[in-house]
Amino acid sequence: MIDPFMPGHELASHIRLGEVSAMEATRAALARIESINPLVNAYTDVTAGRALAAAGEVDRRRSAGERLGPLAGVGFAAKNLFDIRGLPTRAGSKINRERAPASRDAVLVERLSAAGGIILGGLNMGEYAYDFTGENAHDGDCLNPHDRTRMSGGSSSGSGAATAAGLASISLGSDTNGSIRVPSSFCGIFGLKPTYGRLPRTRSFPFCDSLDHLGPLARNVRDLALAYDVMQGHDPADVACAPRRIEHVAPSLQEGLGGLRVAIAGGYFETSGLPEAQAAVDAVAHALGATEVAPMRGAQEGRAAAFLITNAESSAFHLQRLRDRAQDFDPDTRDRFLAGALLPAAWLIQAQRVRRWFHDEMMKQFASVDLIVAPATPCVAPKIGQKILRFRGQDLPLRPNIGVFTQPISCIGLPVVSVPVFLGALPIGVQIIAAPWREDLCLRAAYVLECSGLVTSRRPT
Amino acid sequence: MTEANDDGLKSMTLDREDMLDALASALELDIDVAYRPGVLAFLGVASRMAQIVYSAPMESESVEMAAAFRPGLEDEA
Repeated sequence: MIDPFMPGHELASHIRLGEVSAMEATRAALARIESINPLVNAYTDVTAGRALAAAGEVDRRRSAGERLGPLAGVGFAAKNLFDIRGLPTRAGSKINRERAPASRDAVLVERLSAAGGIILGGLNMGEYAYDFTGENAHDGDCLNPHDRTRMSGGSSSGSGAATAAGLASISLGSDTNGSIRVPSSFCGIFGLKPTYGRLPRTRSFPFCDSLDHLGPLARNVRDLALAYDVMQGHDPADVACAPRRIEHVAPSLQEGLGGLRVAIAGGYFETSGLPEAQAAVDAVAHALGATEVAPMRGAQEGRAAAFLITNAESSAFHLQRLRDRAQDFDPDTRDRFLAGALLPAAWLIQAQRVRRWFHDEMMKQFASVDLIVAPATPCVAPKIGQKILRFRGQDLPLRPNIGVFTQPISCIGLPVVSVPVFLGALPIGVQIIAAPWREDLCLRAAYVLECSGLVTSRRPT
Repeated sequence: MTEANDDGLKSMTLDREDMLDALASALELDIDVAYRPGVLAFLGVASRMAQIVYSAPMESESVEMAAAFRPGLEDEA
């Protein structure tokens, strides 16, 4: 019997050694999806035939003495905005499922597959990624594996829930304003949002090109790092993808904190009045030896800039669909898209200027600090259907404010790992943020925290 | 409609009903009456966000716009 919560890198090692076959592992994974997925609604498509064929190929290569990749036989799944050959890329919408099936996988799916990963299917998500809750009117709500009366978080809802529930070792998500980090926080797993421009988005369905990032979610830091490493590499088909050389992070995971300067995010990120976020941030900051407070000047303005850029750019992208088929949108995204189509161009341009200004302010901070610790979400997973967030003594609309702490960070493209801290039965994430292109530092710190036992994923009970 | 000023703030003080009608018409976007309350609410949120970005304490001429266009396909570094 294969433990569905076995780390992916350990499973790959067993498969390389011939102790377990990829076929056996894949059959077990598919059986678990069949029995558990109806409880959480994480998968929208299961590619069983393809998975079994890929597993057979891994076993054939092993028998032939061929070299196997670092993720040989490891099951992964992708948010359904990634192209998966043979499936229409629905991006959480009703409208998109009328598209022709994708003829080729997204680049990141191809790269994970080339490393030996076995794609198990496509994952639920908020419509067109405009969501922090995991609720979806078309495919049904994605539920939190740790408490199925609560939200999984979004918009990479299925990525968070499937990974936490042991329905995939690794998943792929997208993060425009927090959509990897929010479900990582609510579902109690690790999520990496790399630097803007690091991983190519080729053959994924966009939300807001100026802010869209793709990245992995996993139950442990080593799996996260391995997946990230095999997905690196420039692809000119994504114009935002930076022509950077590959900078592997797995080899440096165990280098520890030696000499790293860690600060706590202050100002806008202050956690007083948010007891769950405060407890988690304080614990992580203490473990990393953070004493100084980073003022995070410009974060509020940066968050507002991200809101406007997202609202205007995504609505312009969907304008024809809004003209022709507004009634087919999820009611929880439709009104926001319609409003975004009406914003004056001057607001968008001012938002882009503020984005650059906030970036420059943050670069000044990174002259004296290597890592910054901040809450990922203001609270643990809210109840499904909850509409109001109690935030520092005020009642605010829940949906747009779940990402209040993630939005400024993705606004300026900083690399960040969300690490899970369990407060009783429910988790909450803490962001470990670095300067551009220093994903290695985020992951080193996350690994230190994981080894200390402070941050860890847990099996749902 | 209110008077324009020189920093892009004009639309923030527009009556949102006027803004919706004028811009939806210009875009040939027919907004169902049932959706209007929600759209107006989100226009309100966007207006507040616009006020925040215009309040950023940056020098008016010192910051380039972030949007960048690089022609041609680049080779890997």
